Amino acid sequence: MSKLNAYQVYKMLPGINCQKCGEPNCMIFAVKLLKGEKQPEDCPPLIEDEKYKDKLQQLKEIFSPKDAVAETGLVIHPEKCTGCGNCVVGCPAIAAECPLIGSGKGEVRDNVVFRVENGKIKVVDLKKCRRYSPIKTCRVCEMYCFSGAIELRTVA
Amino acid sequence: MRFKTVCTGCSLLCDDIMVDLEGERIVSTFNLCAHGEEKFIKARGTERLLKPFVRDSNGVREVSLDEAAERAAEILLNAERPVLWGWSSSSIEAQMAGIELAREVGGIIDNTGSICHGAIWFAASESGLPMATLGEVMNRADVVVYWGSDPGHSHPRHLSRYSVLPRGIYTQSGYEQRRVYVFDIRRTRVGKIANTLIELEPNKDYELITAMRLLLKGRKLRVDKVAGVSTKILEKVIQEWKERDFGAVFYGMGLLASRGKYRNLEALLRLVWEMNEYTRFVVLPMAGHFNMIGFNHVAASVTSYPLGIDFSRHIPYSNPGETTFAEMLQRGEVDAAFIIGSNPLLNFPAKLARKLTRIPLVVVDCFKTLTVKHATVAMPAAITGIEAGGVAYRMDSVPIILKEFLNPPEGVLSDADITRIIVEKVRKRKN
Ligand code: SF4
Ligand code: SF4
Ligand code: SF4
Repeated sequence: MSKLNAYQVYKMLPGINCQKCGEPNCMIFAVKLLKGEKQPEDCPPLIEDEKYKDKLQQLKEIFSPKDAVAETGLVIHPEKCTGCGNCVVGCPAIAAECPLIGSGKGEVRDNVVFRVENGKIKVVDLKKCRRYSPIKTCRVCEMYCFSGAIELRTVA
Repeated sequence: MRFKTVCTGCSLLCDDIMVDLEGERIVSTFNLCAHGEEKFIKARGTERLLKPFVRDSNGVREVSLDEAAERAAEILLNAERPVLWGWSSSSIEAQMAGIELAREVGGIIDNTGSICHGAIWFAASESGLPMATLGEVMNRADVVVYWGSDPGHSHPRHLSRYSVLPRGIYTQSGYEQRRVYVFDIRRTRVGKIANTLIELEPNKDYELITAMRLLLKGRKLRVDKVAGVSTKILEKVIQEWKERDFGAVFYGMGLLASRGKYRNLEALLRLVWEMNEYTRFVVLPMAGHFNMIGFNHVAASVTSYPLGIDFSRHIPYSNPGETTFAEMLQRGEVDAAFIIGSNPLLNFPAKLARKLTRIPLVVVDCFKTLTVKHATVAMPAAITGIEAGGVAYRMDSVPIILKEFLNPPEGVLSDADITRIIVEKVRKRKN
């Protein structure tokens, strides 16, 4: 999935500006969808009207509220990932769990947030991420991902 | 079966790669970057060269390896100035055999370093080479400088394995403890995560380095900007470097390809030397092919020259510019070429590539490259690091042992074996 812009999302919405979602118009709803502040299901016409079924399906595929996004805001764009492992080695949670990975040596573990598999990043156990704790401020993986494959969206 | 191996995707030679094997098939890989993954997938791809062939007046004909080697020996012996080129993607065993072959046929042996990173040896002979291993960088460095190199594209795991992110013995806080400086002409991938990104004007590297050396000596500059960079920023950078414990400078082709060529590197080496009066600073090349540095070490230990070695006088002789491949080709001096693990027809400027198509080419390669398609004699080789073992030198000159874990396609030998067979054939013909 290449990066969507608000207009592309807008075209998938009914575009009738009914304001039932509580936003002034569909464009603003599209922007909020992109930010992760709204879900496709928050738009009543999409759900109620049969003729928007395809659009809803399309939107759901893009914005399906995977647990990852809902809980930590982590969104991964695998097509951009170069498998550099910056996120794996930098992650303080992984380093605390397995100091060897934290010192740059690759290991295959199942109790880490993510690992590099087949040249791409793969989430293994998201529960280990520090964004689960009440502080929710860690952004190291996003900061050091130079290809922009990791995105941490703001979670409401 | 899980197997630990070494990746030969770039000169970082990551030795922590895990591969899940099911018979002859790679099921999944761990810790491998996309660059290395591509190489692993290509090993079982359709682009492999599988059978030796010779081209004569009747067209292309598939032959046995023995016949191909015989023909290769004939071509090399009949030529006045044969050049043996490539060697950066071969094990040092193959490189040793290659030097032997050059000696036997009285030719010139040169590696791809002569058009890129070989400059380090010329610069080092003038200003010395303050170097360290990558392990030392990982354990100590708190200043990391990338000059004209972008590991984001060329060596994806460089930052995560050695330079910026790992937590070492004296760098327990990892990335928090290190400062990253990037000098480049544009905002590269690594530039995005740099603490200080210095975007200089193209071809002004020498100017900038000289200004930094002056600032280091405590002189004041009379201009506000050098190479498009404000003097104040440079003063700050120098001040920060002086206060730190250990700095590592990684330079790439961006430095060597800009105006001044290896003189830029010489200036950079002097700057690093002078930094050593205040703290510890080292410099390391971001070499491309996985065993480019290896050839220079092997050649230097056997012949005392790092590259471009001419055996036509029966003693080794080298003069970069006179006995290096690209320049010889330009002068039209080369009348036969032995090319191993390199694709000059694609990588050389069109003018040189055209000259190359007019002379007989003996090509040893794993894939059907453009050069293979124009070859007079082509011989398939096993992929070093996947189907053949050997030793290779990492970018910091540390030898790493490569292991094979797949069987090569039937009848395909390693490039070391192929070179040795040709040496045998040449010896037989000479007697
Ligand atoms: S947010 Fe922090 S703890 Fe969570 S995966 Fe990224 S680096 Fe690790
Ligand atoms: S840092 Fe980014 S590019 Fe590197 S492995 Fe992680 S997600 Fe992929
Ligand atoms: S950084 Fe280089 S050696 Fe390491 S896995 Fe990637 S291609 Fe292979």
